[in-house]
Amino acid sequence: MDKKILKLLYRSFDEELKEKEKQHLEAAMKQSEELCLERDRILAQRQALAESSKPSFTPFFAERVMNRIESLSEKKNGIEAFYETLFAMFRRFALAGAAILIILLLYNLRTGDALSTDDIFYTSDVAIENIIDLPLF
Amino acid sequence: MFQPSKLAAVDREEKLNEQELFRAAKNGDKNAFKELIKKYEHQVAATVIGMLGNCPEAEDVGQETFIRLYQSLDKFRGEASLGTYLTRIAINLSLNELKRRQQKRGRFFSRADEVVESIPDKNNQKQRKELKDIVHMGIRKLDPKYRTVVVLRLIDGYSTQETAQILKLPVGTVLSRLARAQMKLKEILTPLYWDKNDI
Repeated sequence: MDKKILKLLYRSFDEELKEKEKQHLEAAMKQSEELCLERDRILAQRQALAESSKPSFTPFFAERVMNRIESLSEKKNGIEAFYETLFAMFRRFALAGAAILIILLLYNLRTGDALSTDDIFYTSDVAIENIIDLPLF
Repeated sequence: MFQPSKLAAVDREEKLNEQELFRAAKNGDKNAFKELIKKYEHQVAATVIGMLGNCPEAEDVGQETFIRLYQSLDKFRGEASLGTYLTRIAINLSLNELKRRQQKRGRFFSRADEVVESIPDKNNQKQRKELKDIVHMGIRKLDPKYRTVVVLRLIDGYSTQETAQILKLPVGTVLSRLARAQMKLKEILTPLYWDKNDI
């Protein structure tokens, strides 16, 4: 079978052919029984596909989707609640830490003789070797 | 039979209904969203089952399609119709599932999709049913890019322009893929059906 004609036949199902192409196809159809058979096969194939266009999911599909959405939002809420608690806890610890730091700074400022960083952080008597020698390290 | 004007009125009313449902769902009304699922369930089923076959994964992909819609209710601006938007999600998720299957097949050397598993028994079923089953089996053997256009155009019934819009492809590409897909389908069907049945 002529491949060009065959392509034209396939195209004819999905687009409007030009007048010349239409005439060419019609003439070819009149001459070839095989081409007519091919057209019938394509038609049957397409019909078989179109007829099966109403499949559906198992019953209560919408309910199952809604259940999944519910459980997803519950899960999301759980994660959000965890982060909110963590944030609230962290905020408390951070505020307490900052308060302790300020109190220590003020205490060191009051007890120290001069306003140097060493006095503020009470590091004037601590050498790096002493820190390394500490039992912690 | 309906007059065209009545049909148009019904169509307008349905669209209005859909818009109301969509607006309500957007505002958090879960019952409205459930109604939307019921409205589009068959359309999504046709796309997903057409792409993947009638299998448990098809239902999963169908559910995921609606979950994605739910999660993007705020983002949906209504440039395309809701049906088209859902079809696009369903097609993308189905293609992902096909890719996943292909990877799995590569890993385990199984050829589940290519095996001609269930050629119906001709003695027990009518020819039409047999042809339908074989055509569907044939679709599952098509390459995903051909399968997509066949499902959208021939099963879902979208026009070639709409198919091109959904797949973001030129109309010419859709047409050539359609022709190629039908030729391939015929190649698959010839030994299984046409050679044994006169049409």
